Amino acid sequence: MVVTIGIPVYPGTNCDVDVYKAVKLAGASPKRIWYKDYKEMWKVDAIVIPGGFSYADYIRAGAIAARTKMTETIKELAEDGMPVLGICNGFQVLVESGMLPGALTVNKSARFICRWVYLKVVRNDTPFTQLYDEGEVIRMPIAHMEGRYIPSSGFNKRLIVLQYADSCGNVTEDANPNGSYMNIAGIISARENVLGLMPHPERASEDALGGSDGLRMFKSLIEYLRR
Amino acid sequence: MREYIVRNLTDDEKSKIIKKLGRNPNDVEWAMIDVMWSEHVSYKSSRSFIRRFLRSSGRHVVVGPGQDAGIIRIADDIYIAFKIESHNHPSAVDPYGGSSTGIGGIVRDILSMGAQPIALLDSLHFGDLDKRRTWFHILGVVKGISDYGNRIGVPTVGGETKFSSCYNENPLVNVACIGIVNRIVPSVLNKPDSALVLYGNRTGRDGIHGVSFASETLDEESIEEDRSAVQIGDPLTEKLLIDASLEIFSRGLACALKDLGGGGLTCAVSEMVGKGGIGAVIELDRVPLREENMSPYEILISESQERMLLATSYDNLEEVISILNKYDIQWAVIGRSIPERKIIVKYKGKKIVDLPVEILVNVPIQRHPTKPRTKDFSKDLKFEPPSLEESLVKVLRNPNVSSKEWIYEQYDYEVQTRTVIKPGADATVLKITSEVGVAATLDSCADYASIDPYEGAKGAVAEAYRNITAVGGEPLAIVDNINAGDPNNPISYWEFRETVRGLGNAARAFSVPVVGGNVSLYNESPSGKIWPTLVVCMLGKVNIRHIMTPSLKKTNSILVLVGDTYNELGGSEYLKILGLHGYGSVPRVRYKKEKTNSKNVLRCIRKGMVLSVHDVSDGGIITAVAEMAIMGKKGIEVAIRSNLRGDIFAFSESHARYILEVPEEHVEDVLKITGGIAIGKTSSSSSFYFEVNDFCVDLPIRRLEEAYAIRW
Repeated sequence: MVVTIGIPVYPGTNCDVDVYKAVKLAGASPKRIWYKDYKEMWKVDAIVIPGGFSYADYIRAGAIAARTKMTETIKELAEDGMPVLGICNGFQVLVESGMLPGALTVNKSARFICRWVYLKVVRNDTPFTQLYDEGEVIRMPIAHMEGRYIPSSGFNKRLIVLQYADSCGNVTEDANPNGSYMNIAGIISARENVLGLMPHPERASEDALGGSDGLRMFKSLIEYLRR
Repeated sequence: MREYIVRNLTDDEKSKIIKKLGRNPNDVEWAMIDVMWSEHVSYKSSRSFIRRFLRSSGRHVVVGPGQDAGIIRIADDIYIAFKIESHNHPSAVDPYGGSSTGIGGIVRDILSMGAQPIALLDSLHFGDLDKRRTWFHILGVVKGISDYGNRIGVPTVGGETKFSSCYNENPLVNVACIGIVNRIVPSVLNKPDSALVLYGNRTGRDGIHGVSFASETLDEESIEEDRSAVQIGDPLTEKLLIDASLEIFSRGLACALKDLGGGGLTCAVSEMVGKGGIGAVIELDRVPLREENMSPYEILISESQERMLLATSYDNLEEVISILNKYDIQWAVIGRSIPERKIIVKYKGKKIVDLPVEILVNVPIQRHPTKPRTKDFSKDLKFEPPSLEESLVKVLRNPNVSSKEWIYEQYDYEVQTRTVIKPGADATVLKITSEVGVAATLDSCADYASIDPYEGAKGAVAEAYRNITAVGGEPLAIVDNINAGDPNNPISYWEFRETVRGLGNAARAFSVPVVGGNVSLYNESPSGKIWPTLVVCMLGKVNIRHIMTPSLKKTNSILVLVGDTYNELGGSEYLKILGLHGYGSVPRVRYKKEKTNSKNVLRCIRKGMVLSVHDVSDGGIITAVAEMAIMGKKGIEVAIRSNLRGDIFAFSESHARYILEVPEEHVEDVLKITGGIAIGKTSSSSSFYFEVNDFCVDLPIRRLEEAYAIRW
């Protein structure tokens, strides 16, 4: 079965081609969709919102993109159960549009940080992480200015899927690059079909580029859709 | 209406223009001539030396100097465009705006060739770290590059950052961009009756007099006043401009393309049609404006950012417009090309400019007197060496040497997923296909040039050559940026000439052609002038399967030193920490040795006989070995006997040297191929033991790491 993955492109999105390459490598058929063509989203099996600087992060990262017809469409599809993965700016769009709880704010260092980090896979019972082991330590790069996760009141810890950790999997303060609450790198929606994460799995999908741990995230999703 | 004040023309030049034209130009025409005759646009003071000394032909060269960027061929179907430019003056007065618009400009230059921008590198020179003004520069420049570069989705993958008091008032911001070309789009138009489409941002009053301002020295007043001459950047429009342009190229709709940079619309139009032997009619009322009541000359010379001038056939106009509309980009058909070699500008139904193109694009060369600097560096260098341990820690902590992670981690160096060798190594490697990659480096040796401009310029080329070699690359071509002082100052002008001569001779000797370049003069302020600073951007070709990084990989492998060490401490980091900069003789470039050693090191890499490679440069052998140990988190034991005094051997910065990490079984072959010597081995301990004659360092790697990884 051919799995089609829709990649929305907002003005300023810049990781769409990288996600496209990774999704293809993982074995699905990717489709980049310009934000004005949001109706095309109805035809896909899952959505990956890529990173970048939609609307140059004006106001707040993801704030303007969250208020477009494209995002409204994605939200409706997610409510119908379609899997949605938001990476970096995509994660910011997910929290800004209310598809995921909490907020992402400026890094503790107040600087942009581009760096390879270790992540602990807290849950492998999601469509996006089923090919990892529970507690496995994986490596991916982060690249963001506003990645510090702040929970909303009554935050449910069950939603945590990925945490920043050291190379042995210890969740320590030193391993937290941006000051996120509980070292949160990625969370899932209560319905378990929307995952947002700050690290870039598409940038870790080839050994020549420094690692391929990220590729398994796309493979997990594809395998889930094929079942 | 404001009156235009001519800023760049001498009385002699003015009378030449009047004679050539046979009449007095009007106010608007003077404005256009003035920007075209500025140093920044015309290269009038630098062209003669550049023509005389630089060679630009070679087997791989597809497009040489004179276009918006150089293009080389690195494999059968792979063409790479690259270019470097300075944004020194704007960055001195408005570091954030200056550096970000510098990024925008160089990216558009690459785009102008029909290329997709894939990487940025920057060479930054700042003043002393204990000066408040320096921090104003650093924080603004780095944030500007980060905010703009990251937002447009072009990774910043490498470069260099150096510090010296000579840059206190005149920091240098040189940015290079690399692009992949599918189909070359010329920047020159030779077809009359093409539509001229201006697209991107609206035109405002920012950046008026930008080129004039870059063609003068800075003083207290200008630092405050000229902020309005600095343009304002808008990365979102730039990103959309890139996306739309790439779509226009892929459908073959562009006849010619130019970005609007220095000199604004005037320069873009005159150069596009002028170099193609035709002319143009511009309808100035059609230019979309950001502000009301702009006078015609302001519209013509504004340097508002994120604007492109596209020439397309009227048949394709509709398709071009539909692409621009898709990306919500402002556009206007502002004129058409004509067969007559004239630039005609119409405004409110009247012809306000009617100039022969030649007056705008053929600017006479200007020569200035030169005066060699007296060589005061022959002074004998005699000093009592401090302990090697203490010196090593100081050198590693010196900001010229220490890790620049605190800077480059503010840049997205991963976007576009091509970065195989990341920043922090000798050169960056970008993956183009599964096999072919491009190695890129930016280097300068201004500290040597401060003592000997000619050797310093050669040194920058040699260092770049080694950096490409060290990652496994075959050096292919150069674009350069020369930063110097006021050409009216005979010593500064001599320094400039020596720099061009050094670059030209070294590039010829290494068979690495110079395919493009930029010159930034007038880097002087009342407190002094900068060191003549040549920044070399070199590209090489690599096989992705045979690439090398400097970090030590294994324990019990052998460290091999390739190349000879001389008593060449002049300009070294060692003398700087001792407060003796200016003494001693600088490292001399020995072409034959440099070429042979490069060839041999590459042979070892390709045969899979080495584990890591690092070139020896700032801080000498001991620093190179320390960096390899720190990056690889491995201990080392080194013992060397030399005829030189131990500290001189350890810190001399002689060229043509490399450190290789070699597995035991290949040592014999590597020594045979390279003529190198085994100097020690890697160990499982966590200590750094380095002994040369009666000098010795024995420190935990962690101590060195603390010094090297200092964050600001």
